[in-house]
Amino acid sequence: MREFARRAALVTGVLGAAIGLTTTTASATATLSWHVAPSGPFTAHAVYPTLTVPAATFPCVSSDVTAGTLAATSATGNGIGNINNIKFTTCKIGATDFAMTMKVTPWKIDVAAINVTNPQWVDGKISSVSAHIKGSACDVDLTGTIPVHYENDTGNLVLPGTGTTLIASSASCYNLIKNGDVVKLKATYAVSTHPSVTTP
Amino acid sequence: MGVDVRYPAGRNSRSVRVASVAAAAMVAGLLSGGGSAADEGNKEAGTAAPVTIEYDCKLPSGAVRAAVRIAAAYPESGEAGRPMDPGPVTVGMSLPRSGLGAALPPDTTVVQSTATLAVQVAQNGRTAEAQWNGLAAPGAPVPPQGDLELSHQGAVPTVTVNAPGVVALTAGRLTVEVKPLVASEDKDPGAGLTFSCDPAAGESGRFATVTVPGATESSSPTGSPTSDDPGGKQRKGIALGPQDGPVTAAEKLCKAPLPKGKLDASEAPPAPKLPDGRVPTEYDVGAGMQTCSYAVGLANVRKLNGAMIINDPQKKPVQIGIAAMMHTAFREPDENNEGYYMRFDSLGQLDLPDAESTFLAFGFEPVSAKVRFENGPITVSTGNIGADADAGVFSTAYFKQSLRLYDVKVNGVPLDVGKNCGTSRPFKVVLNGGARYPNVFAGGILEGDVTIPSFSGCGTGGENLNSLFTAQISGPGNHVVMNQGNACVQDQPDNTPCPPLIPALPTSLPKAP
Repeated sequence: MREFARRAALVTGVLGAAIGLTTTTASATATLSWHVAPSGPFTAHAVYPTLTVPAATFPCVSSDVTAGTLAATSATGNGIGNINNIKFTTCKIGATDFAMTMKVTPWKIDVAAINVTNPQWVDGKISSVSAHIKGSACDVDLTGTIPVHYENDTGNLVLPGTGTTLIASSASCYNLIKNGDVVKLKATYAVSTHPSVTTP
Repeated sequence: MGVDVRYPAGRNSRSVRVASVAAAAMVAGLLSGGGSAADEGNKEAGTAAPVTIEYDCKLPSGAVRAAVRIAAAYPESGEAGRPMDPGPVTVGMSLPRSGLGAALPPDTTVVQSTATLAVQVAQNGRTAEAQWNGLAAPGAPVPPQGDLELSHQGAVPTVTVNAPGVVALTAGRLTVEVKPLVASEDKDPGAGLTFSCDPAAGESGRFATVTVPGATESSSPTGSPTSDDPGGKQRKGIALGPQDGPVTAAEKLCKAPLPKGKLDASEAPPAPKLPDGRVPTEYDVGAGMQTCSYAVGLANVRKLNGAMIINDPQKKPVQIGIAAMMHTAFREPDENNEGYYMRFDSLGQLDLPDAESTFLAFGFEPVSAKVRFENGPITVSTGNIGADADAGVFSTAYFKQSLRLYDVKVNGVPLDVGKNCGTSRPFKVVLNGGARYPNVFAGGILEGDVTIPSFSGCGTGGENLNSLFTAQISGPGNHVVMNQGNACVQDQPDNTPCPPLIPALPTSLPKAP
């Protein structure tokens, strides 16, 4: 029986990892359930986000989630939040401006696990990301996911800018951004409601 | 010296004074503003003196008065049978920002716009209607309040008449399509706004006249429908060039040399050192985007108190070829938003036509010389130091150059300087533009001071003339100002100005702060 439980745990662990869940060491077969308080609508503000591609790095002056929601509970953590509207202000390629806008809304906030080194942090990602960069003579689509962690102590949603899962396509931008380029978005958003995100 | 080189042009019976005053006139003409160039009726876009016509525009907010400035360099006189082509024209307008209402989302920072102007061409009682289509203002910043300045440029149909008489050009309806380029993220960028404007009451709309000399014919009624020309379209006497834009695909091809050689960004501003020791990432983008444009300018020779025109816009200027965005260097800002560095490097090649220089040796001997420029590859670097808006924008062009002198004449008498008279070694030319030169596609102003080294190899038959030229020319503080026009990107001949437009000579601008 114990052998069966152990193998079941192993399978669950492997499957869980494949679909974005991790199990805590204490409970081999439980799925996490997450709680957010306060839940409901939120906004968020970041100063000086940057976008980095293999050939260049582009600064913006700020970025805002102007409409977002967080669920009070989530069994898996997937889609625990929605980013309904996000905007980026005064982004530049060299001396010229460009705009970055959502092509699809909402983007999803998924949480996965408590960070192994910092128990105040919750690891996760932003998924269903679809955005468009437009400048004078620059057009690029961005699609994929962005790794994040949320800090319960500071109330910051941090995009460390280290992910490799947001990819450029339909790119025509001075040869600086090419199809297939990894695009790294780095920003720290202060979440207006400073929720606590906990599990179980 | 006895001659004040800033006196206006004049004539004098003594030959030395004639030559020196002519040199003074050349200097005064070169260093004056654009107005004198317009009087000469040259064909650079934007240097013809604009004519202002008040227009009434139908905007969503109601009728709005707008000032429209038409600059079209038609010559004062023409020839029967020869097409009159003003070159690229400019139709500028100042539009109150408030007049555009909801058509421009409030966060709009840049708009592009296209204009069509109906132009009536009349001579001897006959008229023809031309459409100036597709005049483009590619990117205009939108002020938070005040006027939006749109400057539409483009080629227009030619006019050919085959009779003498005065040809009058009159502006009619102006149709403008304005589109936001960087829109508020809360709204669909939208289709923008199309509106039309007509000359205000009391405005004739006349902006140019060309006199075709000769005995005027007796007037005869033409242009009205006849049985074999029911549309009255066969305009006897006035022919218009092709209306869809006269540029063929072949004409859109770059005529610039392909840049050869290595990038050298050593004269561009480097990234400031950071406490964390991070240095910029160097990245080779590739072979670069092939572009061509025109760079024209002035080179002052300080010791001579005179100037040469570089790549004279009026004398078959040559294109500069730039392989754009070959290499980048960049560093992300740290958590305090410090240390941001972004630099784009492009490689250019400018094989300049020879220039002519006239100067006074020792203050009184008029000397003329032809100058050949031997230019090495040009590295153009643009970018930012620091991420704050508009802070630390830089632009630098760096190349090495040698000068060769030939066809030298002293007081009109040829002086044989031999075949190798020139600068004793190549010298550095470093030009900077700051925000006045945003990138190699937009072009702009670059300027700097050049040190001309000593001359060598001058003189034949044992006569050594090196010191004549070294004394008169060599030394520091020779100011160079260049104006590069918008670039044609060879792979995008319909989205970029192909062929590229020839910009105006820069006037003596104050240096960027």
